[in-house]
Amino acid sequence: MKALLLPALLGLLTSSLFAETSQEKGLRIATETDVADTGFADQSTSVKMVLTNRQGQSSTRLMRMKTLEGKGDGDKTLIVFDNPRDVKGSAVLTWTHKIGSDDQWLYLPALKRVKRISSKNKSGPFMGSEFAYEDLASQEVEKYTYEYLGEEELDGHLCHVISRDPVDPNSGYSWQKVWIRQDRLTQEKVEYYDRKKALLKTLRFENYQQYLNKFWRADRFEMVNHQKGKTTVLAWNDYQFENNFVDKDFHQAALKRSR
Amino acid sequence: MKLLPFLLLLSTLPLGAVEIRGDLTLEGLAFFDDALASEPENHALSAKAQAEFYWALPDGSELVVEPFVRLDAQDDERSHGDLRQSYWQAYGDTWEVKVGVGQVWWGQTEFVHLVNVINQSDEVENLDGEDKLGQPMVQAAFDLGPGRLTLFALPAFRERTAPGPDGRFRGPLAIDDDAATYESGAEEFHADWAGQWHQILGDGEFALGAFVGTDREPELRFNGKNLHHHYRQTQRYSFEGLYVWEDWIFKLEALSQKRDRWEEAATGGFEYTRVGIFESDHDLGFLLEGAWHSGRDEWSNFASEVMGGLRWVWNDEPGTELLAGAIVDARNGTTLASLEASRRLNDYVKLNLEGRLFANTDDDDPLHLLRKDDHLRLEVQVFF
Repeated sequence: MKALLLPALLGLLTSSLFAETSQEKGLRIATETDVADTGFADQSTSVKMVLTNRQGQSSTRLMRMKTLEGKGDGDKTLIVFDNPRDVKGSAVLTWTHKIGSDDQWLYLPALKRVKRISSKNKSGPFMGSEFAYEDLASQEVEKYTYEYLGEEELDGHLCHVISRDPVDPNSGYSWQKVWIRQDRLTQEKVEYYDRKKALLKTLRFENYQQYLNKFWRADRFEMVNHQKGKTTVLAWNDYQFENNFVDKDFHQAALKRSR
Repeated sequence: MKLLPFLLLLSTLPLGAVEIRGDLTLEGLAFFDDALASEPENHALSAKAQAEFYWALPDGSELVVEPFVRLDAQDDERSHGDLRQSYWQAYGDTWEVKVGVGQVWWGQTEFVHLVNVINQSDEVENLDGEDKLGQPMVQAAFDLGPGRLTLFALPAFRERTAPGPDGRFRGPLAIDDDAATYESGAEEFHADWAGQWHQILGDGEFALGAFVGTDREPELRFNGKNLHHHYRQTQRYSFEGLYVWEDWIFKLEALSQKRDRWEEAATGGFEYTRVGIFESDHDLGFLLEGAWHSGRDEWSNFASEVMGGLRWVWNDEPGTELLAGAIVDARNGTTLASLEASRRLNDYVKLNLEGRLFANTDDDDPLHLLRKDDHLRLEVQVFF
């Protein structure tokens, strides 16, 4: 609880002592949202990804994901693919960093080979979906600059609306507009604007459940690409916490053993 | 064939639930020219099956069995089976032990696999040296401070496969695979040893490798009647390194090797990737590598080569990819041009297309023997 209270108190203090600029308020909301989700330690989950094109044809990807919360640095994640079958057993290991580019490795079971890949390629589609790698990567506070835009009601709940600009020049976005529910500090909606500042995609987070009496996780992400008329839905299943994951579970040797 | 009783035996063990993945692949090969030898035909049809069986044992250890079999309508030597992997593995927080038949990849570069020494190439599968025969081994790995030390005991040797009289990708004389000779009196049961230190350093990583034993790369000899492989004893010390900077990946492999004498070799280069080219989702990767060898060995393929390639990734739903490349010998101009493309038809079926051309081959270049083997290869791969 201390970890939660301190930044909130600090925020209160600063806002009462000084007039808070919209940039400061945006950063404060982003930090509070991050802090509210700090301390989950680790999680595992499986994901069903359904891609639907303009003609309504759909295809499905299945994968499993493990996350180790970073202490002082970004999170580590391991994703193992189950479907389509030609990529079954392939896996991606990512070490997210708060500052600088992430480290990423790919395991190819056909060659029994681990390949380091350039994580600069973050704006590309993940598995042919409407999610870019950067949409699914660990959302560290340091990866953006912020501005508070105001309050807005969304589905009957009062939300903070903030804008965030990616720090990384390799991001595919000029900026993002984020709706954060005030009562529980959960992201409800994100609008992604392309490099020409035109609306590209909208992401909605649906069916939030609370775990360990603290951490909110949405069961369903729906990403709509307005420019292409395509949709990708991520259905998250079987969230598990307190797995006692350690750093060694997110090393190259573990990547080779992953299945 | 020999695998069947083994698999039947496995199925009787109380191992619990098994996880299976694998594929059945049909392959058609079409050649543009008649072969140098009179026997082989200008087309070939073949089928391959490969599956990995995995059991998680109650004590936390694992069992992996991966049989492979190919039936080739033309070449009896290409019809073959192998245990690609068959091992028991246990691990803790800082160690890992593997006993059985395994596959280990060393190296970073894309074109020439200079330091990849543990497994023998299954050369009848493909010329690219990326299909490997299962290697009997005891492997132990330890995390020691900043890196990982892996030690290998390799009690038995696998001979390189070679096309038979009815097979393509060979010169006028087929290699007699029953006539292999060895420098060591222990022949294929010479005990080989290897070790590797691997360390990650921020945006880079490197590995140092050592190997003592039977050289995986055979020397081609003529015994007056037949061509055959001769396997020398070797000592090898290798370095492999990789560094990521922005959209660039730099790669280097270097080797010091003693066969009849000490020789040095190196290969390296970079891969540069542009994402979202022409405002699409496509990625375009540019590959440039070079290979160098200290003393031009008559049968060493890569002594002064320049390799360039283009990797085009659509990032679309069917996972369309294309890799075009060329290997050019800077001294004699011998060129191998290659094109690989793949695309999924659905969740279970994938198409692969490969084309290779051997152009401007110099009389003294090993690739001269393949000058009539320009081909297209189409694979239909069904995964389960």
